Amino acid sequence: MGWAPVAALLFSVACATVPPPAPETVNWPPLPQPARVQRVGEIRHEVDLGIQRGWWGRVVDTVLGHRQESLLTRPMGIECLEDGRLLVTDPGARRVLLLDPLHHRIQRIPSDDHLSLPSPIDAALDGHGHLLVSDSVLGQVLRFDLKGRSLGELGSGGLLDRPTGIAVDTERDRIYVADTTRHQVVVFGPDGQVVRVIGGRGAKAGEFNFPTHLALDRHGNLYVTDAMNFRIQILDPAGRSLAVIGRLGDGPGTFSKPKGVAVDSLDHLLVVDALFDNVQVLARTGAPLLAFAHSGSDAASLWLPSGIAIDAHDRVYVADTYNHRIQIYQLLPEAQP
Amino acid sequence: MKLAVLLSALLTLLAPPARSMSVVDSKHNLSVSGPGPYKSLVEEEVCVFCHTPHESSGVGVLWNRNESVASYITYTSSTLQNAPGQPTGSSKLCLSCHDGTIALGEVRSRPAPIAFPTGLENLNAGPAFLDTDLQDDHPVSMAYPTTLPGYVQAALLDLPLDPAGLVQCTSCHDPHDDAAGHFLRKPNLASALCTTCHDPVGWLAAAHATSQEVWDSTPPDPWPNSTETTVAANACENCHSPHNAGSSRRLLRSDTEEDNCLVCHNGHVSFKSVVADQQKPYHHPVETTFGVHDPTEDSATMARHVECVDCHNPHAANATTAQVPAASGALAGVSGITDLGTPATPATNQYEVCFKCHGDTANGAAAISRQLLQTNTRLEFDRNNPSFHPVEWPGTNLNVPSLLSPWNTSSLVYCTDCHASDSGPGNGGAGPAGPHGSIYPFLLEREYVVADGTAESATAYALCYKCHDRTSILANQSFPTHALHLGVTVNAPCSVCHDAHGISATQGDAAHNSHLINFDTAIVTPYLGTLAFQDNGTFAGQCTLSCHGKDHLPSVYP
Repeated sequence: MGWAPVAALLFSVACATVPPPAPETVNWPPLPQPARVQRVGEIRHEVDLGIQRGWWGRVVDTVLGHRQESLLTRPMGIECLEDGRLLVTDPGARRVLLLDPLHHRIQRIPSDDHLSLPSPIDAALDGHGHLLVSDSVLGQVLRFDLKGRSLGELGSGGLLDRPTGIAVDTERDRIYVADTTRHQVVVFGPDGQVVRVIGGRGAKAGEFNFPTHLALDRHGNLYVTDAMNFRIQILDPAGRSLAVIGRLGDGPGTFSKPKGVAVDSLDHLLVVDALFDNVQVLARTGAPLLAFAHSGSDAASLWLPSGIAIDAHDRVYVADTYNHRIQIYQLLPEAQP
Repeated sequence: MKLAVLLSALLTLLAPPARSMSVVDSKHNLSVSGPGPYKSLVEEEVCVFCHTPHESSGVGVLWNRNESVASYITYTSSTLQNAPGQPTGSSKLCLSCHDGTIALGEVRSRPAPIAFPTGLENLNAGPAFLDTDLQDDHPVSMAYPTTLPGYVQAALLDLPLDPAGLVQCTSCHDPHDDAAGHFLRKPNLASALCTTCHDPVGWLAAAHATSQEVWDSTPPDPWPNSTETTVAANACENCHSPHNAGSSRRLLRSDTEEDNCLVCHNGHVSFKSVVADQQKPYHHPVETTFGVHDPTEDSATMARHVECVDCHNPHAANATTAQVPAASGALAGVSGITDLGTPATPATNQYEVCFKCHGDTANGAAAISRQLLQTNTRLEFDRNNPSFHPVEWPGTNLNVPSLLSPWNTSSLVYCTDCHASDSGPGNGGAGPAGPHGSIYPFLLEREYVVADGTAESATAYALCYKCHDRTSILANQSFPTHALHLGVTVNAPCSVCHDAHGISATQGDAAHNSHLINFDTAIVTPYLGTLAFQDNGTFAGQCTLSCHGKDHLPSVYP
C-alpha cells in the first residue's frame, strides 16, 4: 500500500524532465529597424549545455530541492572550436573549461583536481590538437591535451612576461601571444621557436601600449586590442600595420576599456568594451555600425564583459564576466524584417 | 595644565606632514613615457587611462539611426541590479583594468600551499569552494551595515564611502596617491586600515594585536607578502588576506583551517610549538575535518569536528592567567556549554569549553567498560553526584589523606590538570599548555596505565600520583588493602575500581559509588550475580565481587 505514492513520485521524476525555460531573445536595433543582432541564449548552468543530472540525481533534486550551481565563476577568454565546442577560461575558478553542447560534455582543464591556474586569460587550439592557455600570473603559455593533461609550456625561460591574448593561425602554423607588460606580440612557430616579435611600446601605428586581446580573420590578418592606446590595430601576417581603428572616447566608434575583439564573416569588427558594457560592431574602415547590450544582468545586458568569439555561422559568444555566464548572440543577414 | 597644552601643541608641530604623491609618479601613470623621471608630459595624458573624456564622434551609427549620439558611460547607474559580487561605481572602473591583463587582479598571498616540513597538513593547491559569490577578495559595492560589530558612524570614518554610501575599492585605495604603498589611503601598520571598520570584541588586548614575536627564518614563511616583521605589526594579516585569500570564507589565508594557526604556532614565531603536540599519537584531530566548522554553528546540532577555533578565539585570545575554574585568556571569547547544559556565550569556566563536545554530544565508545557506563562528562562532573573529581565544584569526600599540598578537599581542578601535553608546563616541560596532544592515551599529561597485571611504580600511575601521595596510598592510610591490590600478588591498576571523572547521580548513589568506585567490568566480575561496593562510613566498606579468581563474599573492611 505504501509503495504506490513512492513509485508515483519516482516515476514522475524519472519520466517528466522539466525543460529549462526558453531563452529570452532581444533584437538590436530595436523595432522598427530591421534586426541585425539577436541575443539568442546564455550558458550559465550545466543544463544550458543539455547536461541532465542522472536518474538518482533527479530524485534527490525533487525530494531535497536543488540549487543550480554556476558553471562559471568569472569567465574571461572564449574561443570557438569545431562542432560548436567552446573553450572558456575562468580565472575566478582558476581553470579552463572545454564545453561541448552537442555531446553534453564538459572537460575541466587541468583535469587534475590538485592543480589550478592562478590567472588563465585566454585559450586556443593549435594545429596539432593541443590546447594553449595563457596565464598572466605564471607568465607562461601552458599546453594541455584535449583531456586536460599537462604537456608543458610554450615560451618559457623569460620569453614572455605577462602573456594574455592568444590567436592561432593554423594555415601558416603560427601562434600569436600578446605580451601585455612588454607591449608586444610574440609570434611562435610550430616548434615553439620565436618567429617574430611585433611592436614595442609607443603610440604610432605598429606600436602598442598594453596590448591585451587578439583575433585573426580568414586572411591571416591579426587584430590587436591596443588597450591603453584605446584602439584596435590590424596587422598583416608579416606584422606590418594595415589599419588603426578607434580612439578614446565615450561615444560610438570610440573606446574606453576595449577588451575582446573578433571578426565576423563579413569582415566587421566586434569590439567588447568593459566600461560601456557593450559590444560595438564596426566596419573595417572603423565606421561605427551598431552597438548592442548595456549595463545590467538581464538578457539584454552585460557586466564587465571581456572575451568574444565568433564561429563559422556568425554566432557570437561573449564572456559576460561578472554575470558569471556566456551570452550568445546571432548576427543576422542583411535586411532581416 | 598649561604645560600639557604647550607640549601637545609642540608635538603637533613636530608631527610629520601628511604624505602624498602625485599620480604622475605612480604606477597609475600608464602613458608610454611610463612612470619615473620624464621631462615633458602633457598632464591630461595621464588622466585618460581611467577618466574617459567626453568624445562624441559626431558620426552616428550606420545601422541604428534611431540611436542618439550619446555617450555609453552612465555614471548614475551605480545601483543597477546590485547583487553580491557585482561591482558598481568606482570598483567597476578599477576592475576593468585589474582583471589580470593590464594589471594583475589580485595580490598573490601565497602561490603555493603552506608546505610544512613534516608534511602534517593537507596540501590542497586549488580552491575548494567555488562559491558563486566569487569572494576571495574583500567584498565591495556594498552598504556599510549598521549591524557591523563596532559600527562607527560613516561621517566619522576616515575612509570614504562612495556617493551612494557604498564601500568600494576607493574606500581603502586612493588610485592617485601611492605614498603608503599599494595605493592605500593610509598605512596598514597593525592593520589600521582594517580596524577602521572592523572592531572584533577583545581585539585591543588580544595577543595577535600586541605580540612582538618575530619569525626565526625557519620555513614556512608566515608573512610572505608583508614587510612587517612582528605579529602585532601584521595584525589582521597574520590570518586574513584582503585580496586573493586562500579561502573564500572569511578571507583567511588558507583554506585548511588549522594551517592559518599552525604556520606561526610551530615554535618559529610563537614561543612554543603546537605543531609538535599535534603530531603526537593522541591529539585533538584538527586535521581530519575540512570545511565543516562554521562560526555560527550550534554545538548541540553541528556535525562532529574540531578545529583550533572551536577552543580559541584568535581575535580575543590573550596571555592573562586565571584561577580555577575560570578559563584563562587563551580561551577568551569562546562559546561553551554550562554545567546545566545551557549555552555560555562566552564561556567563563574552562570546563564549559570542553563540554561543547565532550558533554551532551559526546558520542564515542567508552574507553573502559564500566558497571555504570557514562560518556557525558557534563553528567560525570555534576556537583550532585555521589563522587567526582572537583572540576565544577569541591568534591563530596572530606577525607582524602593522600592529597598532596597544595591540594585539599576544597580544591578545584581544571580539565587540563589531567588532560594536557606530556611536554607542557604542568609536567615540567617547555611545550604549550593545553590539551593539544600527548604521547599518553586519553590525551593525558602523565602515564596512566589501565591494563590489568600492571606492576605498580611511580611512573605507571604518574597521573594519579601528581595529586595523590603514593606513599600515603601504599601505606594504606585510607583503604587498608590499597597496597595489596596494587602490589605484586594482584597488580591491579587504579582504574579497575576508580572511575576517574565521576559517577552520575542519574546512575549511581552515595551508598555504592562514593570514592569514584565504578568497577571495570572487563576485569571485575560479579560474585553470584552481585557486583557491588557498599560504603559503610569513614574508611569502612565492603565489596561483593569476583576478581583474579578470588571471590569477595563480601570482603569487609577495616
